[in-house]
Amino acid sequence: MRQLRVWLLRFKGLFLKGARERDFAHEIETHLQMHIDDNIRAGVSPQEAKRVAVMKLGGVEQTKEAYRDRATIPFLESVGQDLRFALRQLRRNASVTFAAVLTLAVAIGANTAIFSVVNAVLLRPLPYPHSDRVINITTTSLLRGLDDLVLSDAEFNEFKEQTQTLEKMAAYASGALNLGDVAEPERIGGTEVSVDLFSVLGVTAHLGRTFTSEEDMPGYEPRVLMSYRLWQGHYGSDPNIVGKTIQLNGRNRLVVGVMPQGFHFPKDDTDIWMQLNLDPASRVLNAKYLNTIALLKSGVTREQAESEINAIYQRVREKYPQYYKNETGVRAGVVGLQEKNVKAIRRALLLLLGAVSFVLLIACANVANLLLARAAVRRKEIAMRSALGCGRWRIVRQLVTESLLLSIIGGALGLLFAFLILRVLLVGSPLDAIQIQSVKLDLTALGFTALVTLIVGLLFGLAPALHASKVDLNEALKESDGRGSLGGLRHNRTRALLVISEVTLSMVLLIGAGLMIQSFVSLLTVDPRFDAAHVLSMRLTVPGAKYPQNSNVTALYQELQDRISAIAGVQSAGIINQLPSDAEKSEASFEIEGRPFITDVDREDGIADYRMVSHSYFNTMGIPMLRGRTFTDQEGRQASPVAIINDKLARRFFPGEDPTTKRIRLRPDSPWLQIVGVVPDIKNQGLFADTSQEMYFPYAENSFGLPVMRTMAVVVRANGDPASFINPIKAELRTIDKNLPPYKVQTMEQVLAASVSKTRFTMLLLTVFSVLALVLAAGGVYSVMAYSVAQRKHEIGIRNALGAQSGDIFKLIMGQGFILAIIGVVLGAITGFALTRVMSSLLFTVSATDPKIFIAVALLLIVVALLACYLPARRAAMVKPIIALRNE
Amino acid sequence: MSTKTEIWQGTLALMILKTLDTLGPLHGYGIARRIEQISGDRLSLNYGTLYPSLLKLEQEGWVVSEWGVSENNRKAKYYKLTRSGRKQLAREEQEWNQTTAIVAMFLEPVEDQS
Repeated sequence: MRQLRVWLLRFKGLFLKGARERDFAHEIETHLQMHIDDNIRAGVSPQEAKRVAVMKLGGVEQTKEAYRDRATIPFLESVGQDLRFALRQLRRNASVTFAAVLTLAVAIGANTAIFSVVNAVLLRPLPYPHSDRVINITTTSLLRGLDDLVLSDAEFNEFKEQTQTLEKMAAYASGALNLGDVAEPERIGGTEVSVDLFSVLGVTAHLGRTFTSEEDMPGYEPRVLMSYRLWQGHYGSDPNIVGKTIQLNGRNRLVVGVMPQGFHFPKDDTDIWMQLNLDPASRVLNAKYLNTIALLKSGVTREQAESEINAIYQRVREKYPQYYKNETGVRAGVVGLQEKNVKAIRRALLLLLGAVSFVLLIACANVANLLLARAAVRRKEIAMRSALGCGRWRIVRQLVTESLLLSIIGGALGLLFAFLILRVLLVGSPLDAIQIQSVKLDLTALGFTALVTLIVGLLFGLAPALHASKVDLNEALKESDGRGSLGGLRHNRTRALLVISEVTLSMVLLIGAGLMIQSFVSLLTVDPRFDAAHVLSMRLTVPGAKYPQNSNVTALYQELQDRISAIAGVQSAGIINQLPSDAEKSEASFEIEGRPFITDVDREDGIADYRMVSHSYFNTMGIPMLRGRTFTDQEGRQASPVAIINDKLARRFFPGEDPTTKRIRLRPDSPWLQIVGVVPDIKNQGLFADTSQEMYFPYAENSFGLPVMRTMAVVVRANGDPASFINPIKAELRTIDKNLPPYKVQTMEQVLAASVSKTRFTMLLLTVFSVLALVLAAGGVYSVMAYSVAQRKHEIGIRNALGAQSGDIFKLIMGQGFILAIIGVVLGAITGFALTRVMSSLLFTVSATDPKIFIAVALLLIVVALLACYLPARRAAMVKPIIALRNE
Repeated sequence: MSTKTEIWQGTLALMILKTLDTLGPLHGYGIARRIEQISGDRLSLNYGTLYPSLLKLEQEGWVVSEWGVSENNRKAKYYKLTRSGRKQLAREEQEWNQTTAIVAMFLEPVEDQS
């Protein structure tokens, strides 16, 4: 308590300097006077009396100094002095300060922005209690990589009964529903969940309640929980919604609760939850559709859970071999919910974080360079202070205070930049809506910025400070201004090293950017094998309640297709169950007439993807027939069953033969299908992926037992902007059925753009960062060379006087810059070679060590470095001999 | 070196407190002279060191200061013991006595037991 009071008083003492010092000077004066009086009374001469008094006191200034140290906090007081001095220095060198602060602000701003995205997406735990213990069960196989484990009812029950490491385990199956009986009917995401799901996640209802165990029993009528978003959007946040019914897929369902804002498990678009009504005694094995989520028992490690889960999985596989593909080396494992969510974007984000920290390092090197140059100019000042008894530590502290002040101003401005950068960044990002929402400049980001700012200040401040404080007093004081005896870069090793590292880092960044640009360009030049221009797509799902029969569904789609085709400006309309770039796909094994049926499902080539299309689909999408013909509009109704295959399938099974003379069938008990045509290998799995073997069937055909396709996509080719046909098409749809909402309404060009959005995002940011790096590095080279020339004016003047041609001088300076650039480029190439491997999974058709990119980037850097040397070199070449003499 | 004893901070503070207790309010010079007198000039005291000590005591709240007029009609700063300063003095005196007593016991000639 007392100590606190003392420190408070001393702190206060920092600010009341003048009055206190006057007061104390007065006190000392009286003290001396009294002493002198006494001495004189004792018979000493006045001079001697004064001398003795001062000596006895121990010196007036010393006493004042000791008193001051006690009255304030000496350390803080000198910090205050340093700060004031630093501010003065920064103001005096306004241009240097401006350059440094701007450089730092951009670099720190970019770092803060990227960090806050990383923080929101990768680091911040999901908003569930125990989110570190919530896991998904996955499988890994050599063939398919990491996948979600999808289980049948019976298997889920076995897992649930056998597990010892999981506290709770819940199942869910996602789909979509038509929301009706509202102003704007809509297709919304819905998930069937087992009752434990909410307790695994630790989430309770915002309004009402979640499901009870009783409601989750088999046979219980379906009830619904809705999302906050749906509640607000369609029901005006009706506080009495619980207990009312809403219309889903044409049926009325009782609402039991509203979930909290932002809760959309498992997917961003999930707005409805219903009970799964899983039978604990179910023996159903052939329908695998359940995803699982589980809560680890506390204290159980991931490894323990993983080995147990895998053991159960292997037992289940052995028990029901007929339901598993004959694939070896499949393991079950667990993955944290968060890791799973960010799997797709994780690597790209980390890459960007790495890149942006490179930019920061380059910025540091640049500012350090500026400070070094300035420290050299201040050599005399520093030597003077040192001569006057200022310790080295004190000088370093002064200089570091200056650089910290710079970095703090830069950091503050950087925050502003970060705010602006984030706004632009998020618009073009491939993040989903929830992830974007969670990106904020929050306390963590502020802390990060503060930390980065301090580290940066020390990083670029300490080296120049240590360097500058190590002055040889005699040398420095003897020198006249501006002309050192130190020429050449050999004497500026620190600066040369800084420039080399800048070039190195820029080289690595440019290589990364070059690789991404190359990938993106390759992606853009990929021919999707269909013509996306002027095509609009939208999806529909026809509810079973209103359209129970397959024929009802077909009739609806047929009518819709006819009506759309009749709209003025529409060239044609087609139907397909899965659009190109859709994540989902359907596979089937097939048999070729006259050849042995490949029963071994493990053999990939016995399987093909299949799609259901209307006869006008290929025409609408601008897909030519390589062979044969497309379907007729009668096929699927009366005509004999037919199929179309793609080129890949044709080449694999009918090389040198005419496929249109062949017949295939999907099962021994289904009819033979005549192949009538061959289409090109359409990029159906996205531009990245190779096309699989494919079969196409008329969508209306169902004589061979494929499931009824209730969800279909409509594609429309129109004159002009396809988006302008959205409303007329919706109007046609309403005249057929007003409760049938179209969804995912997009032009095919948008669909394609979305499939490359991650690559585009990464490429754009990497390019921006590397251009920034290039500019900074060029600035670094320029400032070092310019400084070196300025320092060597004298020497160059003498060279000129001795007969050197201006061309020689020009070459000399250019040569020095060239050497710096070459060293940096070589080091950068080596570093790049080692580092770019981490991005190979983000690249497309280009190798991570593509020599073309490496060479192009190296040339670019060298040219830029030489350009940066040009001005200083020219200036050097024009130095007149007289200048050398004048400088004497 | 001289035979005069160097003085250390804590002791000086105790001496100042005791002086103020005995003589009442006094200026810095007076305190210095008094300490020297009491020690019979055996202490080597730089008068200047007194002032940081006084300031410390003031910051701790044991003494307060105030400008006044000296016997010789000079304006001088007078230091006065506060009530808590008086208590502090009692505490320090007791501690000091204890410490010296213990140290003294160590330094007493020990009788040979064997």
